Amino acid sequence: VGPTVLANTGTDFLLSWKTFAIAGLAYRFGPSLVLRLVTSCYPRDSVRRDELTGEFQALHQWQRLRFVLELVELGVCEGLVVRWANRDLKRLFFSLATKVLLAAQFVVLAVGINIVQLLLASVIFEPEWANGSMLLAVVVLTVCCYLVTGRVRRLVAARSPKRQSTSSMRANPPS
Amino acid sequence: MRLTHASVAVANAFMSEPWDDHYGYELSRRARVRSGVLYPILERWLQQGWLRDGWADHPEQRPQGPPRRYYQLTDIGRRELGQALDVARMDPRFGVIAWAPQY
Repeated sequence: VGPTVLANTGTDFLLSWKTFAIAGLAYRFGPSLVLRLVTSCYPRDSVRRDELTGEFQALHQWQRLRFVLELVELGVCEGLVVRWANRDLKRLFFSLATKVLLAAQFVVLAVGINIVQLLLASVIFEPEWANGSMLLAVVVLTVCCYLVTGRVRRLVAARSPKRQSTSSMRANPPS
Repeated sequence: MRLTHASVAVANAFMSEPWDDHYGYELSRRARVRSGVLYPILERWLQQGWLRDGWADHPEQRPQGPPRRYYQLTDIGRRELGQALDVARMDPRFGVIAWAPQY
């Protein structure tokens, strides 16, 4: 058994400084992240957002993890329900459509890179030029996707209803 | 008021100090009720006028922290929750919770 095998054992991983660093970061920043997710379940003008943030900040670090884990249930059962009750289906549809479009852009990019790289590398370039052809394919496809999605996004924005800004919503809260 | 284990426990936590301000996390610990159950109960009692709420700073813990929301029993709330607790104490289903000491 050589040193390489020993270095890959589970015990070494548990005792490594990286594990402690990740655990420390998760302990320090994890609860804040979960709280942010929970509060984002509520509408922007909801009092619950400020209430939960105030409670969270008043707690000690060791109490926060349990508190935010309990809040996940609240965020889903109360926040998302309120959001769903106040939903604007048209806006929701266009928002989802934009997100799906962005995801599709990356899929197209990934598939296209593979295809173009294969074509370029086999037809035009010598095998040792494979990296260069891949770079070229990435650049060409990124520009294409950017142009296409930009056009579609403008189209979607033109058709979607106008959204009220946060500042104007705070100045004129919905009754 | 519809009596449930959670509502009786929260009522008991309120009525242990009926004149004080109560905070969400403190109430959930004292009543041993999850936040997901506690906040809807508080919301319902606020709408019924049994509670009033406000925002208070907590300088002893975090001077620069955001204000906390507190809940306080109204006169109607003290009467209603007192009656509900009396009923719960007679009911064998809630006996232990309704009489549970608060710390």
